Amino acid sequence: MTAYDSNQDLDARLREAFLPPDDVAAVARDAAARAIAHREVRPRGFAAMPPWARGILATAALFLMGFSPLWAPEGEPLPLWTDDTDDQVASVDDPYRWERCSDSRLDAIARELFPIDLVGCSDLGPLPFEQLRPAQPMVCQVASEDATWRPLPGIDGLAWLSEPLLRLGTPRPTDDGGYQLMAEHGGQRAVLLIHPRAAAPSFGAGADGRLRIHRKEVAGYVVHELGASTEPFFLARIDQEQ
Amino acid sequence: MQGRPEPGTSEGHAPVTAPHASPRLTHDAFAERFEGAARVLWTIAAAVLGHRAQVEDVIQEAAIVGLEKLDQFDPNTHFEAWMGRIVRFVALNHLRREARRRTSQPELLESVPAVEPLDHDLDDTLQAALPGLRPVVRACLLLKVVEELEYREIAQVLEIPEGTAMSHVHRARHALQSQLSQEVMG
Repeated sequence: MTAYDSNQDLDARLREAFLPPDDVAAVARDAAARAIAHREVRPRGFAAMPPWARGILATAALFLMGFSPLWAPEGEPLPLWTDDTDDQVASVDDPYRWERCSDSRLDAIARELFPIDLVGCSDLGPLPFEQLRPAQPMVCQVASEDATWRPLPGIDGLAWLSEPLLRLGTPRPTDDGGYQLMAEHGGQRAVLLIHPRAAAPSFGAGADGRLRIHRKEVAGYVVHELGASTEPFFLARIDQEQ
Repeated sequence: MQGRPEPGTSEGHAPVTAPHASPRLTHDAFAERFEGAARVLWTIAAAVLGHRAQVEDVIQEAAIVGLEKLDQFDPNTHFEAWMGRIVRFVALNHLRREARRRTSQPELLESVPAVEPLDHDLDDTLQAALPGLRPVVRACLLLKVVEELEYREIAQVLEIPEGTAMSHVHRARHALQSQLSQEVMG
């Protein structure tokens, strides 16, 4: 007689393993509500333009602002804005610096640093990559669209990482046009929010314990803002499970 | 509450207008039906994935896909079958992406600590045995065992003949018991 000699025992184990959670109806209701909200958020203005038009405008804006990533020699750091209200250039010592480089070079660097498919969710629109670093020694990972995080190779600061893995859920649209991801780490969960409108004043490391990652379009790529260069980066805060 | 939205009215969320005359679900009606089908859809997603860890993600993505394709759904047909097909499609895509990522980046798998087990609630023996079954077979088994659906209902939801559903459940049980027994005895 083994533990699996009977249908009843097998069925009991399957039910135990696969019984839907008690709140499965609420999960579905929330999913449908988010899908409806996502469906009703239509891109406007800049976001509604075709990629080629956005690329031209972004490049022109960068050029007018003194940045010319497309024509600068390779190897020089690409300036990053430090926050939404201040156009200071991040320090070249910033371990997260980007090189000023051509479009293809930037692509190559991105793929070297983020050796994962930079694909977006087909149904949620393109979501390139996120670069997160918490204030406290905890994690420094890159999130891929398929919810897998990996360490950043060759980036300073990895030594203080105590936990190498953070699990992310699939980005979900929020009703204000951004994306929400559920991050799980060491049994704790946090809600990560990514918003496409970097200029909105309410974004940043929120006092509400939620994270908002800003992003700027540089040479056709989306670089998520990393926070003030003079301060420890605060990009991920792991709160108790909500 | 699956009525045809009257032109020019504001019935809840924006109604989905169809290019032809047959009635279409409103967004609210979709949400209502989606919630009503939650358990079955959840089980299908878990069955295809083989674990529960990413089921909520699949459900979310499926809701978005379903809403996008809502004008292709005839309210007079079986919603769970239509939505179940989308859930299966989305869950399979999850599996494919995962497989592609693992095979395209083998060197990373060696340099990165192993990912934690996907589902802590799934006992080890089941976790090892379930991947040996095809997703549709797992779905038949779980819909029968967990949701206690009739074979007729399973056949309808999974869009397979009733006899096939019965056969899948029988074979799945046999295969699982065989594998699990070997593991227990080994």
